[in-house]
Amino acid sequence: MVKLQERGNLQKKMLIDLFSGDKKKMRSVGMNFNPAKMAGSLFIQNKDPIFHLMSDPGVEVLDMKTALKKYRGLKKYYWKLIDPKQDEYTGQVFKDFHQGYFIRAKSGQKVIVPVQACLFINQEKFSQNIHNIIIAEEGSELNIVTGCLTADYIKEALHIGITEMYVGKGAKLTFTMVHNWGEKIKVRPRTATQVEKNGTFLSNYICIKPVADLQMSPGCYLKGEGSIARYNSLLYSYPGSSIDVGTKVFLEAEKARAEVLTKAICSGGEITVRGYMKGSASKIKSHLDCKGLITGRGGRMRAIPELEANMPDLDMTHEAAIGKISAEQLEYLMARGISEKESLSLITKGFLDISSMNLPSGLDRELFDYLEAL
Amino acid sequence: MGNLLKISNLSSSVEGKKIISGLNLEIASGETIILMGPNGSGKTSLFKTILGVGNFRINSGEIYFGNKKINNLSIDQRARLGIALMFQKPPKITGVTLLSLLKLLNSDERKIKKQIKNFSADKLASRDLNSNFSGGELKRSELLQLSLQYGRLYLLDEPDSGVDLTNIKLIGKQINELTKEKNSSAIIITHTGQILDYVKANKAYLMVDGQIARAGESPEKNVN
Repeated sequence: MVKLQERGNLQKKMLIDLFSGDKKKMRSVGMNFNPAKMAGSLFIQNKDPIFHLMSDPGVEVLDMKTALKKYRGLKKYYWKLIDPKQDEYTGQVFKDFHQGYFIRAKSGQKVIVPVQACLFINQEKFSQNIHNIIIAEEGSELNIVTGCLTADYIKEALHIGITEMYVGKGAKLTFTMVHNWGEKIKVRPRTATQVEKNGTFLSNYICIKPVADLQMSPGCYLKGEGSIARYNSLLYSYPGSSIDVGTKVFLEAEKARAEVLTKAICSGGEITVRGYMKGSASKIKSHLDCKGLITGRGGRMRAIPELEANMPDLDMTHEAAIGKISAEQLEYLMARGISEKESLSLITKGFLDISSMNLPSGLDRELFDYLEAL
Repeated sequence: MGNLLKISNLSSSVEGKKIISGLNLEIASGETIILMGPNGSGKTSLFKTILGVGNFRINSGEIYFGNKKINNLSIDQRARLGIALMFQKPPKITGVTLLSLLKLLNSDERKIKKQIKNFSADKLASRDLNSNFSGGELKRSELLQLSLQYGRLYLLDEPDSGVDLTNIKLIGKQINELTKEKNSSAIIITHTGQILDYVKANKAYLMVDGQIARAGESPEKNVN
């Protein structure tokens, strides 16, 4: 027991030594500097895995290059959900693959404690080409927190992250991704998920700090009967930002269910929230929801929900609303003696309300601090 | 007793429509007055004008609080001087719990706990502000906030409307607690006069067409 404790302290010290200058920002994207408390950890800096730890025997965490060797190219999973030719960024990772994480929950293992994966850039003008694979095997449960960030002093960089996720029969995968980039960073995540019978995929995505250019449109294929996908996203655009985020869900099996909720705040810049759902099986149910709040002048927000169906017995709905902070709410708080600035911040934070996101325990506290700094 | 609030010849309008016209009103410290009058006579508008809430524009006249002219102060500045408004229709604010707001109003955690207990608001405190609150819950929540906010003049807009008998007792008791403390004053708008069973008032005023039409020393008389 003492030895374990010592080992834990050593690992903690190692992580802190590695990232001493970036600790605060890493915590803001949900990274835990006490890795013994996580089911597994992998930190990739630019193109190198520099910290790796597997703590829970129910889950395997490897860097992608090691995984490709160990599992002979991961033939069933590698480039199976995403086409390398789909766009130039995806092609760039195909041609010049750097690294990534491979996370697998073993069949029947319920790993509630999250695995953390960090993708970090601290080299100027670096293009980080990442490919990740996540597998939640049959009957397993897996929680992943992935934090993507640049060091504060990095002015220009590009991050491309390919992530292919497989949720097996009756498995549950919670994937929480938090971004904290810089004002001139370009980001292109390419994510696709496949869910088998009675599997559940929960995605939480938070990007509320400045980024220059972010475009992504994660896809989810509900292949198995009764499979479920739920997406919760919080976005914030600042003057100069260009954000275009969409979610595509293909409900291809009977009784599949999907819900996509996006809350976006525009204090400047351009923000587009897209949603696309296609229903092609009986008894499916899905809802697409976007709530937007414009808090500053000069910004532009677009919400583009789209539904497509070719079966008679399904239920698909969408709702999109864009508004400004209500004067009534603002005055109400000010009537309690709270300054206008503080009242605005309270309403904005309330609008984003991360407590409704079902985040892995422990993470919400870090994120509350992150929101505090808005 | 000096005047806490002195309003002279006040006229205000919303989008060009005159609401308050040439109103005069004075309240001394420690005084509780009742404000009655038909719907649309300007009672709620008067409260909003005093605090600066809504689109009310002061066209003429002056509002003094203490010895300070407050016509041009912002809402939060007026509130911090001690003007505390109980909203009749408070807006719902998602993601902000009643408790988190109480903590911003008062740094004394023990007092917050005590007041939550006094208002039987344990469950209410953890809910999003005014979100699906019942009529009685809204009143309790408003008064609970006021009890933790710095207040010298309480503007209570229909504390007794839509409230059942159990709640009205509690509300009456808490209003007395509010005004007892620090020799504070209150203006209470009431239609039914129900609250007068529990709260002692010094005077009553009748408001008609944006003006104080009548004043009386005994509120009961005016109620009738």
